[in-house]
Amino acid sequence: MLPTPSKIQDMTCEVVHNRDCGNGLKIMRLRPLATNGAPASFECQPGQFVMLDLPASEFRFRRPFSILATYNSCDLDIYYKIVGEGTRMMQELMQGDHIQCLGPLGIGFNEPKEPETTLYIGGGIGIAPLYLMQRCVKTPGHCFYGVRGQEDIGLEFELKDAFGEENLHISTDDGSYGFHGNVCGLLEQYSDKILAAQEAYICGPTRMMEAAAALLYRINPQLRVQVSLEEHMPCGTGACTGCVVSRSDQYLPSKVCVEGPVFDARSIQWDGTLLPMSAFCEESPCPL
Amino acid sequence: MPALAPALATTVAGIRLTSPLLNASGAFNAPLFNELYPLDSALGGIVTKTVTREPLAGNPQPRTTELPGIGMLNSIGLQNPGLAYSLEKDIPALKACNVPVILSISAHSSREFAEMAASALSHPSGKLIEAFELNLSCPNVEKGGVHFGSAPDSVREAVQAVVAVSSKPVFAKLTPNVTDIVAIGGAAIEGGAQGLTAINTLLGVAIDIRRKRPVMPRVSAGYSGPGIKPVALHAIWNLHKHFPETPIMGVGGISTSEDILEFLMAGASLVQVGTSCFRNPMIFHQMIRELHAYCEAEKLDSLSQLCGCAHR
Repeated sequence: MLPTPSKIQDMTCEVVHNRDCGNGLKIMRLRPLATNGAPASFECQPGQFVMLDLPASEFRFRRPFSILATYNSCDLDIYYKIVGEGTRMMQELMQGDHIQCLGPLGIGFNEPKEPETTLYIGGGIGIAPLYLMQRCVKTPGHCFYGVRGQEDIGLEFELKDAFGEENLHISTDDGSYGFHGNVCGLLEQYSDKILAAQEAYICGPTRMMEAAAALLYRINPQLRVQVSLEEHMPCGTGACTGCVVSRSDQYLPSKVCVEGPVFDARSIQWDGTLLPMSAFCEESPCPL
Repeated sequence: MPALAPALATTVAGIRLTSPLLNASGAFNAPLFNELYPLDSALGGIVTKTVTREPLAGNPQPRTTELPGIGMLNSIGLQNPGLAYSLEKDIPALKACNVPVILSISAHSSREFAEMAASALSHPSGKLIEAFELNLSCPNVEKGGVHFGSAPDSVREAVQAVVAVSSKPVFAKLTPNVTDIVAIGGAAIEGGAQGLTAINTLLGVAIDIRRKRPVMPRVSAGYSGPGIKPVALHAIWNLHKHFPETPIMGVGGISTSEDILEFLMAGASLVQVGTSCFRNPMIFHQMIRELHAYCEAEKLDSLSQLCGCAHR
């Protein structure tokens, strides 16, 4: 059973550690504090996320991060890669520093009905919510994990521990470890597992998710595929309508932060095309 | 959270507010945060996200970009579920917040503005609406597509049309992207606006120097955040100087309680906070605590005494 998520809170968190996993990858463990300084409770579902307030004095948006793990209904781990200014600020945080963390936010993955055949397909740091799901359901499914090179695997020990060595399949773009190629090439080797599965979870770069979902549907059209989308999020709480995704089953684009970030892959308009506007709007250009 | 101090209460355009602080349209999910902490202990009113008569799907992605230190650009395209849905679902959800609701509406003609206001007030949710804020950023199809907010005639007619059907006060939200905002504000007042909201976003552009292309797909977008504060203060100063009797909701770049004091002293009666609450959704309560402390330190019976004091 998936845990019942906490109510959304803006938590002051203490950094427990901010440790290196190699090649610019890091895990930051946060401990939410109650107003009296004691640890506060926190629980979330796989695929939910938090908005972290960067340690910057000047104006910045918060940054959304999915949750890698929770411990004792309190601590939470964030898995991140240093890619820009925001994550460079995060890597500076030391044990004992404080950071504001709003969450848990969004709607996560549905619980698998048949965990032992479930497919977990991750790319890069997108592995985080899939690892959390595996830890929650415990029965190992099959994990297909694509990274650029061996040094980007980061969580090899944790993934082997969670999924079991025989269920963990890794691809590297440069061939330095496991299957030489991308995660779709890797998946094609396992069409028996795709046919046997009822559910698949995908999280990673958008193009990888689009390609992987298409491949899965081609091999097993009955498969239920859920994807966790990544978007720039100014607010993370459904106010600004900045982080939307077009979907084939509704006129209004969906807010990734509150209606997602997890969606049925079949409903996603991957090219971002907005569906036709009403006649009302076609008469004149859209306002800002 | 204690009840709001009497010194923070104010009456503007006939509406009694327990605090001069509101959220800016489209920047705050009030029902969500009301569950975390009661909004009636900080906000004097809630401004809704702008609604249009029909649902609007909005603009393509990316719709926003961060401008570190100074704010953000947005080009949302007024995505919204339309007036009917909003009256059925979104407005009733605000009831729990227990603060006056200001409905932000946008339309493509004066007639459509009036029709929207009339339908809103005749709907059962209409009793929750204490005022209208006219978002004048759409093109006016009755005037060859010129933007409402940049043409005094369009503004006057839109306000007139809404005032004619509305028992509730009407605030015209002014764009700063005009030669003379005082002329536009004057037109709104001639049309019967009981208040002005100043300012909407500035137009801005950001270039991605790696791609050598504009960041935003529609090139220009609305600039908001701390960087626009002096522009907003300039507009409020001049509007208050010319129309001292007309209440102004000041908005644009407010991120601290000191900023609020500046806005009040320049001539605002109420203030709205938008972009800054993206980073800190608890900002309203912090600001209210600080404003209360300011009133006590300055021995002010009412914060509203500050309105326009820098002019005197």
